[in-house]
Amino acid sequence: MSHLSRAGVLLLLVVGAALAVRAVTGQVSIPLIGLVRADNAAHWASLEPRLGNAALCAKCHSDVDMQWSKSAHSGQTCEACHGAGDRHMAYGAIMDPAKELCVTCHEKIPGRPATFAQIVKLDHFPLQACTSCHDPHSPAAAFPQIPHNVEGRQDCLACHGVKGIADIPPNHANRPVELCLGCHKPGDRNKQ
Amino acid sequence: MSEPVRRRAFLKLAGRVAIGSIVIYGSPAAVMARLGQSTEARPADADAGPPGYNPKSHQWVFIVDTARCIGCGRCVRACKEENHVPMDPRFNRTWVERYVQTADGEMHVDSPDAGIHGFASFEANREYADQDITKAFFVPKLCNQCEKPPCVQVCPVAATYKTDDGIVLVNRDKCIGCRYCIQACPYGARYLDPDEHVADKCTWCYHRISRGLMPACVAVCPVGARKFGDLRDPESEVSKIVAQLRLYVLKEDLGTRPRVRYTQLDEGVR
Repeated sequence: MSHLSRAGVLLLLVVGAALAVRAVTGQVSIPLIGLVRADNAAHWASLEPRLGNAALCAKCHSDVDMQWSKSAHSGQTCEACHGAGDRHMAYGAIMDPAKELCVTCHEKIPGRPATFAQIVKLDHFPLQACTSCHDPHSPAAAFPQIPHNVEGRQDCLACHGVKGIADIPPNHANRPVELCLGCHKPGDRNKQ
Repeated sequence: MSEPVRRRAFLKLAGRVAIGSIVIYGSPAAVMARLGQSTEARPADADAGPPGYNPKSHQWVFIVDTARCIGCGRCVRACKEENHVPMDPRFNRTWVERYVQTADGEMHVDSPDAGIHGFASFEANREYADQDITKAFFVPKLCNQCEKPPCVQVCPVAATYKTDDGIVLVNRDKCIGCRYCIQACPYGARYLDPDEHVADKCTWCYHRISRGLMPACVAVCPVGARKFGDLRDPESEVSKIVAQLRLYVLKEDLGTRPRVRYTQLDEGVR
């Protein structure tokens, strides 16, 4: 065997050995042969979710659910405003009323899509709390909720027929006054 | 005894040892199996998630609609609550950036406290009070779960890896906290957990999606700016969006092939 061919064989052997080492120690094959068992996807998948679903909240808070599910905020989950409910469910921790202010979403600032409902708080009753007119669970009710006793006030239209005092919606036109209390229960809310 | 071993004798011996070990161990595969655990020898449940979840049958995709985002920051808070991420604004698995282009052509980018309290504070908007704004929008960001993740490539101890359904996860027991992956991520999506000193990142809420739930940030988004779903399901909302809309990814030129797709992404977004 000539020196040249011997050197060639040696070179092939070295290249082959290098490739073999690379195949064994390469990034793909290390986990494959099990020297390093990094894949712990099962562990990540086994973590317990914290944020639940609104159906659980509604089991107890059905009154709020009734309002909320018909409102413009019905697309929000309870926990979006009130935070994770797991501690509340586990040992009755008190939930925050709401972790953010209305203006966090509804203040008019650069970047917000024009189609989204926005106000400039400085121009929109700056000294009043949003909740004095708007109920976050039913925000579309943009007029003040003035609960009052109905005793002795049979004629709702005496006040509500007048423009400006909780106007009657257009689709209520010509409805007789006797029908009002069939749907509306003023005074129920705060028993004033 | 002290007679030097001649080369020919040494080669003969070495050859016998090599042949002998092949005879004893049967095959190189068996050697590897004894060194570690062969793929076949691994317990069947090592890769299994919750019962009934088969990672191979899902192709998750995350879609961000920048035209819908209102910058309220609920996603950031929900993510921290769900995944026990430190409340320190320096550590985030997801965050929201705001891009504001003024009339002089300059693009301003801000993300106060990663956007967790929104952008409505007076301080955040003071500089825009008397400026002409030509365009402004929010860009929620999170791990792109790249199909070719640079962070996985650089990990010196193979502690970070890609699952069969394409999620890049970190094995916190293997991670040595060298921060190399944090440097390698072109999207800044990783951070070092200040408590355990291991790399941490968004998992697309792997524990939720493997149970059929939405990731926390998607679940709380009030305007549907974040969408998540399975491309294998042709009826899913994301499948229809991918089929019908023009979608963009961040830093496409890097070749990382991100799985987070953006609608109406602006050129100025980095």
